[in-house]
Amino acid sequence: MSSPRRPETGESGFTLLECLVAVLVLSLLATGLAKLTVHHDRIVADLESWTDGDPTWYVTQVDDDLARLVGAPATLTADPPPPLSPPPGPGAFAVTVSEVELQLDPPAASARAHLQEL
Amino acid sequence: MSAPRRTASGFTLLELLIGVTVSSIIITLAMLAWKPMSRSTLLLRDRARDTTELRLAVETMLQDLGGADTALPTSDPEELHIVREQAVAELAGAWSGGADEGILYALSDGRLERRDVALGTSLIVASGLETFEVERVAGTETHVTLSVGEGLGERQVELVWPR
Repeated sequence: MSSPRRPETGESGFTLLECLVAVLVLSLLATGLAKLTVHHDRIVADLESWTDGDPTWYVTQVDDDLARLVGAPATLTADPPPPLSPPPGPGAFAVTVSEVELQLDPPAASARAHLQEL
Repeated sequence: MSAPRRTASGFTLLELLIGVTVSSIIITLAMLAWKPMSRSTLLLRDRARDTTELRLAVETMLQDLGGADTALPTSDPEELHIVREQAVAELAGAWSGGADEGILYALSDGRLERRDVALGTSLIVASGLETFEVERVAGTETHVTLSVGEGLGERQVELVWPR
């Protein structure tokens, strides 16, 4: 049985099938390359945005004394921690003014008071 | 008597030249696309390494700051001195003479060294750091700035110890 042969029409060149296969293979290659490039660019852009900026982090210790004692690391927060409450002042006193003295010339004032811690 | 007729088969020179030209164009295009990809891959590799180093430095400092009483710069602005709370120092065996000599972080040749003065140990916690600056701001905050990489690949982090 003889193998299929091109019809001998006297014309040379590629057949339609050969052209189609070549175009298909080239299209597949180009598509693969384009997809690879686009995907890679997207990954790079994502990473760029992730690493952009110079962040400032606030170091916060854990509240639990025991946890801190056994080595709990400090944590980072993006927001500044609330300001520390002011140190406790002296206790409250009951003030009793017993005597007030005022003077006009020269102007002066004085008072005698009794303080009693509550 | 006529000469035997020769049937020519194969490609002509023109076809071969066109084929070679088209192939060259395709290869050139592929290489042009490949070049920036390989460059950015190298950049990403460097960034990944730098970020890992930065993370190691920050994590190690956070571990020490977790039980710290003070964190202050020394006379060298590239040194951080962390003093532990008494209970933490006692547990670590670093409390002697009524005080903790503390831990020193210092940058030398791009390597961040953690030196436990009280325990006499030393450790390189990260390498490839560009800067390590410690500054006391307004007497209430200690700012530690670490950076890695150069140019487009630079990454900087600032830690604030608000005590």
